[in-house]
Amino acid sequence: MSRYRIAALAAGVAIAVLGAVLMLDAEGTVDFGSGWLLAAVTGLSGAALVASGIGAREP
Amino acid sequence: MAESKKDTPETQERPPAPRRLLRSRSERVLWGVAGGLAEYLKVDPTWVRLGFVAAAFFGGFGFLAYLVMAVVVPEDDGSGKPVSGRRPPTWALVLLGIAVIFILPGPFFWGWDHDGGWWWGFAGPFWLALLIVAGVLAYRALSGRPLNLFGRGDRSESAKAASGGKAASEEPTAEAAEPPRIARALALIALVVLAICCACALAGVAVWATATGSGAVIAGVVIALGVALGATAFFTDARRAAPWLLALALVLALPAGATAAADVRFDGGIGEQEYTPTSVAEIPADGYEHGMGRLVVDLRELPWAEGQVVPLRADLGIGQLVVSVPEDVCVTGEADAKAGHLLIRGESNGGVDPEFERGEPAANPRRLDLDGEVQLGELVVTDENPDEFERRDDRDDEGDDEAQKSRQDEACER
Repeated sequence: MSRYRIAALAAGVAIAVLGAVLMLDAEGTVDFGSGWLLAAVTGLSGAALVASGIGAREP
Repeated sequence: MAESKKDTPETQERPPAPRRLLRSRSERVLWGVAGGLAEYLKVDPTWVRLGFVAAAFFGGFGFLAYLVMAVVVPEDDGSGKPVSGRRPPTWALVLLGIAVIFILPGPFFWGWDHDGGWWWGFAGPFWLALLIVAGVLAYRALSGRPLNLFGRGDRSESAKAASGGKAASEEPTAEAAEPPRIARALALIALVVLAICCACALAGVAVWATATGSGAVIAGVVIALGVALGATAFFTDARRAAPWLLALALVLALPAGATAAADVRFDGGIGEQEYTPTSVAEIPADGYEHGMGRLVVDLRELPWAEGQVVPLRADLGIGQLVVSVPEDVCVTGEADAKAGHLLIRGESNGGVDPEFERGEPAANPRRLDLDGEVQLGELVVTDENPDEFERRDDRDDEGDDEAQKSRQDEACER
């Protein structure tokens, strides 16, 4: 058994990347455009939820 | 034996002393108000703190309640008794004074003393307080503890003591500790409603911050929550916090992301703003801007020369924008909304990204060259009184819109 729960780690990374995307857009460093930004936000949120869901099944 | 017989009736017949509401010394972030309240209600202090924060968004109620409690509730001396002779915290007194000056008259400053706005000014905090109490009940009911909120000790224990029971210190039975099923159901509903209220308040903060150009702050909080969530992978004790961190991050990130993707911006103030220029020179070159609420530009008193074209730019974040023109003025130009409804001289268009566009007419009439934008809400251009569109009680929408259309066509063909 691993010393850490990979699913929780993956969910955390997804949320942190989501925050980074929002930060880059808010600061104007990267212009994602409406479509790509929305896709990134929903995709990363979904990934975090899936990872969290898988993590909840772990003993 | 003799001593125990002598002591037992005294200790058993006296009901437990009422629990005191004190500012906590051990559970303290600021002045221990939330910690003390949590100890009094036997709930997790985090919930009480979140309750105060959420309530602060309802007319400053949470902020004010915290300050009042910081002043009037005595501090715990560490043994469950109030510290004698200790004065209230000086900063709490100063902040309370400022709050009384600025928050209590808030409804009058912000114009919240009419229409639905009163809800926020007065009734909102009341219902929120009610929800918080219901949420506390819910927590205690779901955790299987007796619904004893008023600090008179454990009822089952008191009852046994009062009846001369032999085992006042015995554990209460499962039956006694189990709250009624209907109370549990009601408490669960209240807890869900309270959670939704908190989530909506946080989502509103995220939208507001992003639309006013402070999205980086929300993004920073989301990154921090992501790091904290990732860190729970390494600590077994923190495992239960993971779903809450994820929920909090999503409640902030999703509205912020949607706001940024829709390119929603709020510039200007909040509340109702009305402009009635009486000359073209009074109309600002960069137009009228308003953040949230109602923006009215009444041009009916504007002297309009034959064939004169008046350019007008108006921009609103969330709410209703009403531009009133004289009956014989032709409205051209363009208007759009991210989502909402456009009603331009009787021409209606609603939904996501509704647009209005009308080019210059062949004739040379009096004309308003409009450049209007509403991020979320309604944009109305009419020759009626702007107040007609505030409630619409006296308005026959279909008939009046048709009449508007024919007056617009007539004005453009002059």
